[in-house]
Amino acid sequence: MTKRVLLLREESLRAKPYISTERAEIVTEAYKNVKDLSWPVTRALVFKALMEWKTVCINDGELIVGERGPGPKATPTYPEICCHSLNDLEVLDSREKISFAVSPEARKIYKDEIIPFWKGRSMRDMIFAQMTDEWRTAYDAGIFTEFMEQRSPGHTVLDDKIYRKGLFDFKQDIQESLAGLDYVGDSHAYDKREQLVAMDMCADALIRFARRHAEKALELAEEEQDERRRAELAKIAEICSHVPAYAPRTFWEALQAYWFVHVGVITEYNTWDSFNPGRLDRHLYPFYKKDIEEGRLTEEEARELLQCFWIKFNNQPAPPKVGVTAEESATYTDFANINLGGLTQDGLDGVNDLTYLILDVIDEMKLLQPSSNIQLSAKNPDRFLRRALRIVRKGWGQPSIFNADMVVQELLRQGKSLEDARCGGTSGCVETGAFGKESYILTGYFNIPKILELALSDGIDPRTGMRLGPATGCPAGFESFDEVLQAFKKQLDYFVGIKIRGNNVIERMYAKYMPTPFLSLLIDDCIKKGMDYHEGGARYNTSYIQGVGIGTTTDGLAAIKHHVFDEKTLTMQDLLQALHSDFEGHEAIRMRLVNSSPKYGNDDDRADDLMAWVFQQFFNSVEGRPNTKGGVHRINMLPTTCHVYFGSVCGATPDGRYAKEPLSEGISPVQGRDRKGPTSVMKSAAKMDHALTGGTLLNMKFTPKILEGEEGIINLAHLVRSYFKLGGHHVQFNVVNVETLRAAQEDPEKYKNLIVRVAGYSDYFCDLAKALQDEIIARTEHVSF
Amino acid sequence: MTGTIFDVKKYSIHDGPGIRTTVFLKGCPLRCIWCHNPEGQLMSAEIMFFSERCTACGNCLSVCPNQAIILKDVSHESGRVHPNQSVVLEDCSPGMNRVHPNRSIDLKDNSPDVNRVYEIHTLREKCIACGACVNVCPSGAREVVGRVATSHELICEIMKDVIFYDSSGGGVTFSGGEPLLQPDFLLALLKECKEREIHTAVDTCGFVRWETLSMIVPYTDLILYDLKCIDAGLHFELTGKRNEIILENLTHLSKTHSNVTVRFPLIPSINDSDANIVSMGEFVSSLRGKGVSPHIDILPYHKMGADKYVRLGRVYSIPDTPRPTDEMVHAVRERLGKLGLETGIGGGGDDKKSSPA
Repeated sequence: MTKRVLLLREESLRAKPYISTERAEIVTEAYKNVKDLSWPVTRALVFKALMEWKTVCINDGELIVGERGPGPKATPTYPEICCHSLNDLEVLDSREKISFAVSPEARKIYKDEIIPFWKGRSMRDMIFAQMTDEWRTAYDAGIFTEFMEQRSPGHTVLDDKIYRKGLFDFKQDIQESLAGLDYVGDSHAYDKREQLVAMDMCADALIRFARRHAEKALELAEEEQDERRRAELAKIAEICSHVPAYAPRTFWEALQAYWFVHVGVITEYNTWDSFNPGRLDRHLYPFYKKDIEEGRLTEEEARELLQCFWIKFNNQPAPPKVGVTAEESATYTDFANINLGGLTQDGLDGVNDLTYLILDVIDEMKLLQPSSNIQLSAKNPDRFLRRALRIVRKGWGQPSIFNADMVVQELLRQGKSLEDARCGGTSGCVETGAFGKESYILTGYFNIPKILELALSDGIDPRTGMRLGPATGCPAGFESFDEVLQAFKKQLDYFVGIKIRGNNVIERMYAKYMPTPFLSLLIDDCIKKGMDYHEGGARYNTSYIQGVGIGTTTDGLAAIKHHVFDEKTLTMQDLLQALHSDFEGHEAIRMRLVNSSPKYGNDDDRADDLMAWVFQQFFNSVEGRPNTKGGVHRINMLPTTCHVYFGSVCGATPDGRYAKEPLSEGISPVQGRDRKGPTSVMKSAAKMDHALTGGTLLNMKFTPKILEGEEGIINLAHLVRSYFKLGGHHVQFNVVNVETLRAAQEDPEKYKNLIVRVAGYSDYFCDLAKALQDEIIARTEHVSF
Repeated sequence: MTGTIFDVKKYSIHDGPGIRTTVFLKGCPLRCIWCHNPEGQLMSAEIMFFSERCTACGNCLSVCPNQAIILKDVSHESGRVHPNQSVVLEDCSPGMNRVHPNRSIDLKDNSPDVNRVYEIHTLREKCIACGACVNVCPSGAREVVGRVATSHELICEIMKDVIFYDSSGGGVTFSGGEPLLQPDFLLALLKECKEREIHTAVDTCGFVRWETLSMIVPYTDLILYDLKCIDAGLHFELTGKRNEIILENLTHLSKTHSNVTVRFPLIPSINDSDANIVSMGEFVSSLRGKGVSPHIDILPYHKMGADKYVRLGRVYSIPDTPRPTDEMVHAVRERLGKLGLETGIGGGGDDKKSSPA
């Protein structure tokens, strides 16, 4: 790491997130001045004002320029989407986790200018006002969440177009599209014109934003004493005059072009899932190769530029969230997720020299943002996987690993073309998308264990005594396990229906009031169709509902089937009583549920078949139901942090989980219930048909010992390859350190699935007695990482 | 065909190549003082008691048909009364005392005095490992170790991970105990694995008749052969048996099997003398033939088994023996290297191997 990068990295890590009101002020002012224009043009004028008036910031020493706020970690707000109250600001400022400093000046501006203008007009206020009582009741009960209540739909990733074309080329495309409008035969021609004009204005606005950076760089150069930095600033000025107006010519220009586009997208709105360059190694490789061959760039210079680029991501925390949204996504991470490897458009091995250089950068930078993943195809070399696993072994969770061939299969099943599928990848946590061509909106998490709870209580929420779902019968009267399943299915279909009806209203509200002309420029085929990204302008339009807690649900059903119906060792009445009392006075029953029921994650069909059944019901309930953009609803299986929130609204569950405890996360087994090693977890997880999803999330936890030496890496690589042969979508590894082991000693129940290297085999840490744990703790401390 | 096993471990990565499943057969002719699988020694089933999981519910006390589980009043022992408890149950093992807060015993008769302190004891001489206590234990604190399994059931379990073996070049390893103590069962398993094209390894101490050992040779891809020491007297002292048959078998094996790995458990101040290292090295070097490569895998001693002795109600005779230091292991490797032997650590991969010095 060069001294420059060291300093910039240090500054990025040290900077504390704070609320900047600059964006809110510019947007409010712009709205005040706009009268009687179409919504797309209104939003283009807002974007133009932002690009014209927001502070231009060039930090000392940096090579890639442009911040979303006035400085690193200065975090803007988006009052047109969510207008924070003074109380919200107080919460943001004072909460213990994921806080944002709010100055007295900021509060005053909010009180005097922002709140008076936006109160009741923000999307958040409008959405909640539009939702039905049944939607509100289900939302308040924690059956599902709503992604768009505080953040704009985003969830898209860029392809290679900005590296091939400059914004002037985009403007040319817009002109062609405008010229082709048919005002006689097409009743939407006017709407399309407004949209295309708005896109054109946004292209100009970003070019202006870049040129302001060029001006600023020249200003700084004039004052600069250091000759080397002066030359750099001159170079930056030259680059910012060229991109993104024209297509980039060099590696440096390519990075800067992307970064301006990125800042544009995340300034226009607070898009969920941020935005991201996608297949970075593929996009940059032609520039890298050419620059190296022509002697313009050394590998070390490329490394430094990439590192400067990395820091830019880390400078932009996710915009502040409050309420349920803060609970479901409690993180500063804004989910830009760099994809490496995978396949080329022609279906060949996509790994190149730059892939390895970027892996080095990930390793050296060790920053939470951007997140990173490898797309592993059967065609990719093992050394690519092993290089990634050597980073994984260091224990900080990056990169995660995706099955590129399964991603292609998922996209093909959804009807994407083969080329679009191969150029796709994953973003956010694990979400599959056709990069540059798809709007794949996550609409909200769905609490599957809560559905089981309602099936076991005739549709009444045991927490509040309120009726939430349909009456599906008193479970004490169920004579067969099938009746439990039928009740579950009815509850599930009922709430999925409510969620989808809500989604289709919210989608239209965004399409109508919050078009996104800048983002629409970037995603095919918005220009060609003359249609906004939120309206259905993208080539593919998918709305996802994300299932949470399938492990908890499966184990609950398995326990009911085993104890109540198969073995008849427990009556439904006794089980329900134990659940309603949160096992108070029923610890023996809880122990039986925990210790002698079939559990998902052990390659045991008694549980895994039920997991596959629950999955299939969820799929059947959601899949294919139309959204408002010409696309359909689909499912994926991931929780971010929502399994904690959903757990907090669920009573005790039949798997032996206490009330309010977190649910299982992703498609991982219930915490501590997978007892037969990593191969069994993978076998169980692979009994889900991953091809039917838009992504699944499997977390695994290892101690460093098991991954020691080249042999540890080789075997882990085989483990991953085998999971992918079985059709797994994604896996990520926790490699835990000594502190975690100590915590595991304090609270073994919670760490039951922690695997340690014992002697000639591996075992669960908590199966070992204290003396042995102490010995292993002693050994692990010798490992430096 | 049935046999007695005590464990099946998945993702076993140090007993042969690749990702493996290791099946542990119960029963062993040796009693190595450092044995880390003491539950593998006896042929018969035993009860293992995990005191850290016990919730002191008392279920086990009333169901034992042989009255092998008893409450022992230990109130007179100083320092054992927990200030906040009316009833305190503790495991009897030294160093593993564990207080279970807020539990009380509910026995149908013979309710213990609430002001006294009790320990749960399993009287091993009375216990027949029938499993009655295991079935009523809600927290899994009692386990029967050792069960009769059919070869069919084991093959099904082994086949579950076949995709992992295929990817990694792994397979199945039969270990123990001493797997050759159940030769017909082992042979049946090996044959079934070979029919399914699964790579097979057998981990043996070599203390069996040659006729028995030779029987499995055609169906075993890799033999992991443990050598503890060369001196027969010392061997008797450390394991309870002399080693002539072990050395003879290895010599025979070197002529009839093409893939044998010698493994040497290195126990500080027990079998790490220079004399032993040298004679081990010379013996293995002398076998240079068809099957035994001039190679020894060193298995550095660890204390992993110590807790199991407590759980089985036995005494671990070498509690103070330290793990060998890296320097010690390095010195042994150097010494063997000078004798022309390659060495490795554990059953691990190529990266840890060294060439002869």
